[in-house]
Amino acid sequence: MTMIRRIYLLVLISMTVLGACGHEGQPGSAESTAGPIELTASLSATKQHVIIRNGDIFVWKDATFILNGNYEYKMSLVPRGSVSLNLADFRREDGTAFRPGKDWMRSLRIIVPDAVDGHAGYYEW
Amino acid sequence: MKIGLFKRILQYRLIYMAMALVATLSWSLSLRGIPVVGYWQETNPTSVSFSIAHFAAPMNEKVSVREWITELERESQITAFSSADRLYEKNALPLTRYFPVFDASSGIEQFSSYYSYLPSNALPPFRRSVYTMGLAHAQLFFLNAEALESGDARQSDWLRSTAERSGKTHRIAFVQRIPPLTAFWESIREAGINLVLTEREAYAPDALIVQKPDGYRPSPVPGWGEWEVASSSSKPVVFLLNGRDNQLTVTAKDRDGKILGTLKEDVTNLRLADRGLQEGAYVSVGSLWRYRVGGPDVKATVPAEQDISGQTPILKRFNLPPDDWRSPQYDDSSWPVGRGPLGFSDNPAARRMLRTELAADDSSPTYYFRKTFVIDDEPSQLRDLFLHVTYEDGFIAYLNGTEICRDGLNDGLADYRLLASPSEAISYRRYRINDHKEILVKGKNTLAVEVHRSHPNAPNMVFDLSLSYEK
Repeated sequence: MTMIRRIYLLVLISMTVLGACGHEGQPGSAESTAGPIELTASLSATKQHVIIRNGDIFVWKDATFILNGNYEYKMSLVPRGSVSLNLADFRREDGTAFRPGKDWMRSLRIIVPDAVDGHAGYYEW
Repeated sequence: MKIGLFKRILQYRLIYMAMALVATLSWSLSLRGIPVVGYWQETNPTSVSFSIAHFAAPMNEKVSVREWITELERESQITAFSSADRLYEKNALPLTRYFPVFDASSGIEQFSSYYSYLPSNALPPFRRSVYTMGLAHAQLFFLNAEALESGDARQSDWLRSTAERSGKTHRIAFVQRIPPLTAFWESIREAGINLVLTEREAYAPDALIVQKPDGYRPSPVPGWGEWEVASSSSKPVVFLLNGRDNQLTVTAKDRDGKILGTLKEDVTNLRLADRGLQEGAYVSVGSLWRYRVGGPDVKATVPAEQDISGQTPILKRFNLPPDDWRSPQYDDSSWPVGRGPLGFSDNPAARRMLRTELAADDSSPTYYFRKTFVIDDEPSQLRDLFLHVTYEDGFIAYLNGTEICRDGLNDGLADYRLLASPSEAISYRRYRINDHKEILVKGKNTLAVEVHRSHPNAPNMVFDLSLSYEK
């Protein structure tokens, strides 16, 4: 096999694989109706707080906020608008609290098990 | 040597000038006094005003009113002075801005002869012991207590007819002592008098009071309160009356200038009553409120009657459990008490306007307030119901557990963690809440209010509220 044919085959395989990945869970496709929806959210932070804005027209129910992958904070109802959460109230599974000023916020994920019509909602920063 | 000194003076002339400027400013401040207290008030540049100083002293107390007048004139611009005749020294000609109250310490003839500048045509038989003076938008009535006590009805008739003709906003009666006659109070009421001053006390209609001083108590006359300052201090006092538009402020001070208390009234209601309307406040501006910081330890349930997304209006009364902080049955006895406006600020000027300074608590952007009040009216008779709310940045008000008003916050579910939209402090914004009249009940009612800041570190928060009616 010549060099050109090898490159051609590699590009073809890559396009097939990437195309398949892009198709999975894409909004508007037939499969996406069963998958999670993205929450309309935005966030900002102070030294002690994280301010999360629920920009959806609905209240988030049983929301879980996961900070840096392992610090959790739960709210049974998140009203529309912005809420201020104390960073020190985020806890790991073993009960260790987040230490504002010492620990840094690197990521925040919001999970709502039933956002709209049984679809989970998520947001990731 | 002299030239060197002169050059040095020239070299530092800017510093000397700056020091002179600082010294001048400090001197002028020391004369005027730096304001250290205040309250939430908006001033109207076109307003009408007057000020009167009325001296009062227990019967056996001597006081040099002339000397006191001279001191007060140095400190402030007072339009008129008054006291019982016996307190005014007769060793010189009287000041024509001084208005004596006849106290029988001298005879009517002697009194009328000494105070020859007073009008004598009010009630001829009483010469100058009964007279009236107009002062800006106030009408002052000086009465003869001795004649009133004798049961002579002429003064009462004259008071009624003169007050009605004057049409002045403030009507103030001065009398040495209160005659123990129901007819006296009937004439006072019919004349629309909003303040009665004696040698010892001040009397005001309860319905007009927006701020009560310490020592203010119900008087034997229904609907009137009594403020006895002179007796409690057993020292001479001066009542400083400042009338501005519909507001009248009465501040009692002792001989050293120490403030003993302040009474404020708003006569709007009384003047509306003159026109067949009645207005009053169930909860006055500057009332006492119980308060605490919002948090997870204060129970707030989600009422089934509320659409939490806020898409549909509230159509039914909330049915809250008794341990919900908004419920009328909630036990708030452990919450501290403070007088409105309550709040905090990093701005010294805004801080001076607060009557109760709260702690700026970063753990929660929300403060909760509760107040219980009693009404005697049938709510169905009310024509209009109003809230006047001072707040920063957003609030929700509940009457007997049901939401009646909100501003600065999205509709629907609210939580102690919820932030309001950023806003400047709003001063007594009026909300007509007629749709909620049926929530009000004759008897005991409860207002609960949550005030939210727009940021967990926002340095300002303020709250005060009045609930008023027209019928």
